[in-house]
Amino acid sequence: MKDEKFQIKLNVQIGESLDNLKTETYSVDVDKKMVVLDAVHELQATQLPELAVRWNCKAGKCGSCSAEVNGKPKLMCMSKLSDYNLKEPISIRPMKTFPLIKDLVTDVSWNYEVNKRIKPYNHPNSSEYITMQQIDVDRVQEFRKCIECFLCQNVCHILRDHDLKDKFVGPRFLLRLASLNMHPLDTENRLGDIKDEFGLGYCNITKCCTEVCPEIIPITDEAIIPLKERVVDEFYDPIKWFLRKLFPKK
Amino acid sequence: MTDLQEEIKKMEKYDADVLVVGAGGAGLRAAIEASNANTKVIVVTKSLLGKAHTVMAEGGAAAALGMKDERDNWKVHFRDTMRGGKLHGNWKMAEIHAKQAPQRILELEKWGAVFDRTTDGKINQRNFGGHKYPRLAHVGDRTGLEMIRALQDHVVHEDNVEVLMETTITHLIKKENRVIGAVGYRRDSGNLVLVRAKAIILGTGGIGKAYKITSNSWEYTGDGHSLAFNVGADIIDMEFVQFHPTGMVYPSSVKGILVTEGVRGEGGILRNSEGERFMFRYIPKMFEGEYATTEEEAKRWLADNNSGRRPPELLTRDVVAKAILSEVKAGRGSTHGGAYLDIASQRSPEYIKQKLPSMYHQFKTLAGLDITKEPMEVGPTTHYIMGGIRVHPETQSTTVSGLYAAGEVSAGLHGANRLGGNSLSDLLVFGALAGEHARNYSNTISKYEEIDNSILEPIVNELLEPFKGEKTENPYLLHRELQHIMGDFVGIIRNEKDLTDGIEQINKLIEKSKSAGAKQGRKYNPSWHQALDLKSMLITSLLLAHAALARKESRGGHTRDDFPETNKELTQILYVLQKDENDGIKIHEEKMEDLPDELHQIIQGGDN
Amino acid sequence: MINLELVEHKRFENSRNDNWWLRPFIQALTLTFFALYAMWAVVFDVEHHKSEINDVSFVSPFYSPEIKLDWWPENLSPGLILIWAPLGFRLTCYYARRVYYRAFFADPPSCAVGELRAVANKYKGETKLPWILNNLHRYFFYIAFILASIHVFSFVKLIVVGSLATMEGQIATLLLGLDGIFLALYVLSCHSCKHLVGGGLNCNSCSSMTIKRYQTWKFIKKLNTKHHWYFWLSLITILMADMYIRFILAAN
Repeated sequence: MKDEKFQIKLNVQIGESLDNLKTETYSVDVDKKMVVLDAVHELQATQLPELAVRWNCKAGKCGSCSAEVNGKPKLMCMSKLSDYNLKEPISIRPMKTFPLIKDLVTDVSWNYEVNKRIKPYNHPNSSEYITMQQIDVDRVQEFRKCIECFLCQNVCHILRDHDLKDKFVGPRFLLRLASLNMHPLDTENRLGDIKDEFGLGYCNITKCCTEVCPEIIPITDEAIIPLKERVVDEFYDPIKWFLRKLFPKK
Repeated sequence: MTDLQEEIKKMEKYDADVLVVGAGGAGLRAAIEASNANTKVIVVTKSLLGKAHTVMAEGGAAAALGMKDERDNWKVHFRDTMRGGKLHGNWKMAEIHAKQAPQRILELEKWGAVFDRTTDGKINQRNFGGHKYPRLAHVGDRTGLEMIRALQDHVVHEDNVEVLMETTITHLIKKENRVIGAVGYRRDSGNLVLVRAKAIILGTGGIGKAYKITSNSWEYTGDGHSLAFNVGADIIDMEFVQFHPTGMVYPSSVKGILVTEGVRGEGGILRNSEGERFMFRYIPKMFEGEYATTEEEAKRWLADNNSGRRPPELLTRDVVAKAILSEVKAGRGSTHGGAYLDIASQRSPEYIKQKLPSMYHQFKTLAGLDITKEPMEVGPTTHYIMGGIRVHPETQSTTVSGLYAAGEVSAGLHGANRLGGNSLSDLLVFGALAGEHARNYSNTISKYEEIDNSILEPIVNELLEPFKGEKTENPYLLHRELQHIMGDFVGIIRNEKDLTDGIEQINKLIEKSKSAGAKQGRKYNPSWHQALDLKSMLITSLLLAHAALARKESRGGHTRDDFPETNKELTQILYVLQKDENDGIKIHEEKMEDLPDELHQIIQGGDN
Repeated sequence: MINLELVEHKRFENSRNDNWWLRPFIQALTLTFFALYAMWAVVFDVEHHKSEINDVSFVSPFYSPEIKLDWWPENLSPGLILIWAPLGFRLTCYYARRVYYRAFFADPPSCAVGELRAVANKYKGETKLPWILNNLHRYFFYIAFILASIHVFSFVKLIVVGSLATMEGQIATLLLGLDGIFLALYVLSCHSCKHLVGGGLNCNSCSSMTIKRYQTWKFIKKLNTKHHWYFWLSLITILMADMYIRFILAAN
């Protein structure tokens, strides 16, 4: 069965520095079942060989092809053309929050630096095999679905507009911290760092991270808010504080 | 100073006791093992950290942990691997792999990987094609992601490991049969890179991007194969390419994307357009008596994994892929030329969504199909190359001193056909071994070798070639041409005429590719990257075609319609590819070492 | 090594082609209307918050439960005795925070849309006063839990004392019932509630007690995914019940 070919227009932001940024319109031959990344590849192969675009698996598993399609943060490989109004040009721009390298590619290395600051998982010392029940790891596993596309980091206004990268680690790493903090076996105490060093309090739970997550992880409701509640337990709850003073843990 | 000398002066220069090329499972595991206080490791990866092809692995990692089924042990795993590889595998590697895989998996758990659990809180293991017992430690259908995250989070906290992201290695430098360094370029800045190293580990993965219909990402351009070949290492088993039976066939833009074997492991069945569950007709002699022969028996097995024999959908991948092809050829294919893979009729929607979440998501998004309600359409897709660099089974050293290889780029373990799930454990077991032995080797080398301009000039010249003069060929279109040649002439079913024609066509394309040009500008310029990647793909494709022409039989992942039978005489014959004096390919036959008796008995033996 | 630059920020900068402003705009209007109405109902129109039909008295949910304090000044509305509690609960509610930060503070106005005050402002999030007080949500939850129980209880009591005898009584009972149910759902589905019943546990399987808490947590988690619906529905039903009670008074 043949897919019908037709032409669409792409508005692509081209350039590598503020002085030479421009948005050009290109006509590209596509078929209806294609995704936005296919259209970008077609453009690259036939008209614009030097167009910089980062991608790997084209199956929504690696999280490389993050961009802003019609202003919304998306994985280009999971954005079907048929979901767009193809009579209008589709606008494709790089992620705004990270420094631009060229065209659709940004420098996301800050995220890797943040990960280095997070203490790794600490397994209890034991010569025996320690079991874990499925109901104890369900939550952690959901968080570990993250493919590090950094769309949540890109959309988070604290990083995007307020540029507080030195004070706030962003949703991706709050998710990572939640997966460690809620791990049934991790022996590290992390709440103090989560509150102060990693800046949990900066999040005002406006939930854009959850809206853009291609893995549909409920970042806000299941990771960030529960972390906030755990921080309240430890730091903002006078009754709990009083109880702890009264019955100190041995 | 000439332009070239200027370029050489501007190169980013690094020193590493051990240089690891590739940051997939094998590369990262090797880096962790290799680094310590005295051993500095540099990991080079073509994409960002954590995006390597390993993240796409879905089903699980095979290890005889015996946590789901206590009857399992290393001997059964060894036997399954050897038989799955059509007895052509390296028995020593298969033995090491089967014995060490469990501890490598448990170690991952200590580094923070969270596998699915059994009811008594141990690691859950799932059934997979060719594995006698449920053996695959898994996390839903995203096991590779879990593994790479565990390794990645471990590696970033190692003090003596530096990661160079978005960097491609294009040349290894050799001095008297020993590697002393590597040259490449940064994709982002376009800077050229020189790394002096005492030992180098290749963990570059496979070659799938030479094919059009493939489950592999753009990174799979056979870099490691061509790097090793170019410095004179032995390459073996290149004819054995695994075509995964279940890739998506529709819509066309996603053709080839993988549908995990886990679908069948969880009970999915294959039907043709007439609604017949056809796999019962395709049970090969070697496996007769081990698989269910009726739907009723298969159903019983699915219910308790014990009464009845396993369903024939769980035969090895080569068998299932060929069965689907035969059905399509006989006019019983699905609407878009594949077979129907149906799990909706076998399991509840909740179960499917829990066990196969990313498959559910993938079909919903890309094909608009709900796999809990409708069957999927699937067909064979290029998935894995069993062949690659010849390595010593215990140390992973290649035939060039200081050069090591692990993972898909190395050859031996899987023989003529790889069992699903054996790849992820392969990465861990042999990645660790490669890391250990490369480190030991690097400790015996006292100092870095000087690499002078006379060596670097021709290399830099070659790297910058696509920018020079009048280059008329579009590297993207050349790549498409190669994919067509490989699909048409060196595809799943091969014969002498096609292969000879294919080799001729590839050689023509190699000539043509010399005029592959890039647009100006070094900074993140994919046209330049593509022109350079093309070189590796062309060499690897040629090696593959030559090896396929040499093996005059059908076995596992290598099928010849002019030699449709398996030839017992060739079981232990290796076709070894080497570079000859004129930079061409020479090929010779070699007989593998005989199996020791006790291992032979394990393979022959019945049930344990 | 490479020269990197951040793209400049402009007010409301975005490349979205949909009506991203519509939702926050409507939410801002609705909340403003509700705030004004509530102020009028609680502070200014004190007289009409209770109507009696056939000796059954229907109290506006704004004033429920009725508490009599001897020292309460006569010129101050008795509605003010308790209104701070539900008000505090709603103001610190995780869902409401999302709505008002977006709709009233444009922080951000919508996803991937530039802010009013852009980079140079001194954004502190919920790390400093006043917003750090939002961490006290769970205290309001405790009180709201009691209030919601009373609302449900008084609904049951209404039926027992014969509120269904007249047509007007039936409608009023229905509205007060809906108010009780949605208020209860809103309170139970709250994130703090979810945390307190079991969200704080790391080991769900450790004892029969933790397993029970885990099961409750799973149930609350399901409710929690609809928390935003209950927020709006309970607002609307309070409003309707109050309006209807005033309507009966006016009509008689």
